[in-house]
Amino acid sequence: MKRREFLKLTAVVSGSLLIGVQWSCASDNMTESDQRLNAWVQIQADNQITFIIDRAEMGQGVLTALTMLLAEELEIEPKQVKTEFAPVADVYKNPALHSQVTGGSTSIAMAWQPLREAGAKARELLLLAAAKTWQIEKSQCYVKDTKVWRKDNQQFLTYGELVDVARQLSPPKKVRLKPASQYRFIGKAIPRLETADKVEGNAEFGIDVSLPDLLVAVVIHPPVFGSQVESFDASKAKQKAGVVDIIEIPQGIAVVAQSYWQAEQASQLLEIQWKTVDLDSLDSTIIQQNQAELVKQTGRLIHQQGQTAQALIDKADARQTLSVTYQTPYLAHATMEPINCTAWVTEHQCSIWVPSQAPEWNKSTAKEITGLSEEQITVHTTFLGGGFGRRVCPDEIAEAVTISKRLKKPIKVLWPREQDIQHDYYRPATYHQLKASFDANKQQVKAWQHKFVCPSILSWMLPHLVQSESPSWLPETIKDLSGKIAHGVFTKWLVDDTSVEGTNIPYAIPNQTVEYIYYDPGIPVGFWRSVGHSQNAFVVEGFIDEIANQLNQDSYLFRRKLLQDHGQALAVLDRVAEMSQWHQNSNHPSRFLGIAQHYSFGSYVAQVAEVSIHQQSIQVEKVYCVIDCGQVVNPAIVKAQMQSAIVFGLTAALTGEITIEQGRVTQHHFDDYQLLRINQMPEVMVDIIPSENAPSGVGEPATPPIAPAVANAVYQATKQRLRSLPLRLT
Amino acid sequence: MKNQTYTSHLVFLLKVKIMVRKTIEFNLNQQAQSLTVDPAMPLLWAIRELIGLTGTKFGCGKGLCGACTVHLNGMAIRACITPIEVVANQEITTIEGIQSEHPVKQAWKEQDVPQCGYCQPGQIMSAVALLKQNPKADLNQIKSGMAGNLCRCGTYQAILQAILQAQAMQATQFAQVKGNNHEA
Ligand code: FES
Ligand code: FES
Repeated sequence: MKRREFLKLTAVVSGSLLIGVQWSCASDNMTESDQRLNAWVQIQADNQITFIIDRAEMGQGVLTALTMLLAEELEIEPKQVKTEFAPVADVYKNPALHSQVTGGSTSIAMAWQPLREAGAKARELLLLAAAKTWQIEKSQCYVKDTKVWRKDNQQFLTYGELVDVARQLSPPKKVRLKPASQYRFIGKAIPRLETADKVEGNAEFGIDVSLPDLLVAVVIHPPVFGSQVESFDASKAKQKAGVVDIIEIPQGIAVVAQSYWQAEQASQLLEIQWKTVDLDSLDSTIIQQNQAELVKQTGRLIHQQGQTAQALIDKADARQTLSVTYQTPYLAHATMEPINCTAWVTEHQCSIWVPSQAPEWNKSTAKEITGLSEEQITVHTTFLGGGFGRRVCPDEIAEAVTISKRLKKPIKVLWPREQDIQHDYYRPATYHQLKASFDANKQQVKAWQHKFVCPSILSWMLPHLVQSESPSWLPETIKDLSGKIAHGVFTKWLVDDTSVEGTNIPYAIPNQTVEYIYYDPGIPVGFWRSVGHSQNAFVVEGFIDEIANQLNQDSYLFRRKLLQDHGQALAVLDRVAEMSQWHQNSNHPSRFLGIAQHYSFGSYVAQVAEVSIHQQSIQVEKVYCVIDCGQVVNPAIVKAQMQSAIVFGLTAALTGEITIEQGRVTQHHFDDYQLLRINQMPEVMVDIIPSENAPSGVGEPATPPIAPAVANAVYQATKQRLRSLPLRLT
Repeated sequence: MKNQTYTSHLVFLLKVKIMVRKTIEFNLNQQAQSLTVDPAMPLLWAIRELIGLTGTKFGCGKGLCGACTVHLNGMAIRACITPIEVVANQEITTIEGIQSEHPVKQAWKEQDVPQCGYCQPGQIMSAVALLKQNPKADLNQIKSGMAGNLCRCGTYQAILQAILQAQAMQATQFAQVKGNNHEA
């Protein structure tokens, strides 16, 4: 990873100071526009401080948390800072993902050090400027509330007033960051900065973007994945009032109208013949049959410890083994804000407004379609009405840019909900075989074998990201890979980490084997909140629970015994057992507890679900959740993310399922793809383990443990072991 | 900008051959509106695209998610499935028409409810109508009253807390008003 240096840049906007970042390899002679692009913090003469937010705000609270990091060292109230979402530029790349993408629960971990340093260097620079102005020692000055004060006579200068002097000085190379004991904001439940706008209905989402003479396009995609338009008749649709044009684009048929409703109504009158493709005959049952066959094969070895588990299990007496299969279905993201993008392509310019997690990838998509240079393309990121991994894919950007280019008009592409449910990049459907063997006295687990069948998300993502000419933003490793994709690299040589993450168990079982079998039926798959962890935690935390039951041991104590070398995992587990009064509650006549723990995105989470069963339906009454995510920047946001991730995971546990019939998705809408509603919401209790470690992930790690915690509780209630999602009692 | 869109829309309407249109008058956030449109156009799109008020959101277009909730004479309705002709001469209120000081909006801010925020205008409109109809709603009544509003971010627990707080605030306000009247 290249090291980023924060430094002062010569002011380009008259009377203001820009604090930018510079890659250590970048040249010193930046042009004025480079400098603007590189700005992270702007201090104006009128003391207005603007902070560029380089991550997407999709509900996870990044706007507030990043501002807090800067404000802590710059000594300003977070709410005094004006924020803007960043354009696309190298400085805003996410070092963890090598491009300007929000994902992987990385935002705070990556910003923790550099942003505080930026704030501190800016502060020191302003102190120096004040000292110079007053002709006194820097040590005779201090900062407070966007002002530098003199210790001797309590005079002050605002940051804005110091801008002119400050920009002639060099910022310090090294700064001392505050010790935790002096934090004013970090660690406090500071209210979110954009709340008022969101409550008043003023926050601008992508769907709200408005331009003069803006037209709206609805794109009808091939119902069967991989199909294309054979022919179409738009004559009836064209009769509809408001329809401006109906055109074929690579993604399907676009109906362009004055208003969304007109476009959507007209789109229903289209008569389209789709090309027949192989997938026409694909059904979920076929996928499952194939998976069940494939799982019998020897897979790619991805983890081995001790002796080969298979051999031990084969040798063992049948009474000393356990062998089961687990399954998880495809899942859609269903962000509340439907997929949309606004684009305006002219001969020399392309402007894009989009709620996106990956503005950089959008820019390269636009570049490829328009043939314009990067300088001619501007991407404006709005608030995102949910992301969850869906909004890294550039489909809608390609559509809006293509249509705008063809019609020479500003175009907003807006997907009807049906198109979203039916044309997502789904969480993969997976199939797992698990085996374990025990000693003769059924006291100890000897071997653990996990084989699973799963497609590769990266192989679906890369073609999107790799544009015709090798784009500059593409990290070398990926460039390297992308060339190999065509040769089925993921089937033969490489293991996609997003398929296997979460299968390497922390439990002290002497012999372990984990194998992976690649199988891609052709249904698009993508990053879905917590990615591979979401299905793999369900499987391993379910199976470990089965083993505990087989050995007649308490689910919590059994895990505890096998986690002795994992202090942090143990700590969250112990705390959640204590919160949920695990031992006392285990005897309740109608409430049943299930426990699970999982490590992901650098954080440890343990959960206990309390369920009751009413007429064969599972009701989750309470969830206890404990996280260790290192130092906490904003505990209120962490707690909100725990609730959020639990609700997301509960939807998957209780109802979420995308099935395939004749190559197309069966579900259409919120009636057949149901999301958890408020009347199904359990009471969620969250505790955060105090820590001095650097911050780790928060947005995703609470999703993986909830499905197994509920399944384990259901077993306690019914003695039915549910091994496929969604959980359904028989 | 809004006017431009609206004008070009009208210009367009004059040009087409087959076209039903009707002038619909109604009050939106206490301001008179008059739109000449296809009477079947859902209120949601009239508000968002013709009038240009975008606080009311589109989530499904089928009455399944509540993102488009507005008030028709104080009652919560789903604007995405309400043809505009239904609201002729009626009073419509959107999120922009609820005062910032309204206890529900106040409580929503104090509880810091929104995450992505997209569903929140609809949630707030449902909550305002619910508390108006049933100021003393108990927890179960609140839950069933709010069950039509989806939140993919899972802010439900905060929503419940905010509604309980708003209820308490309204009760105190009411008591104060009553107290004042008594004195008078
Ligand atoms: S958009 Fe109206 S209920 Fe979903
Ligand atoms: S806050 Fe995001 S959908 Fe409710």
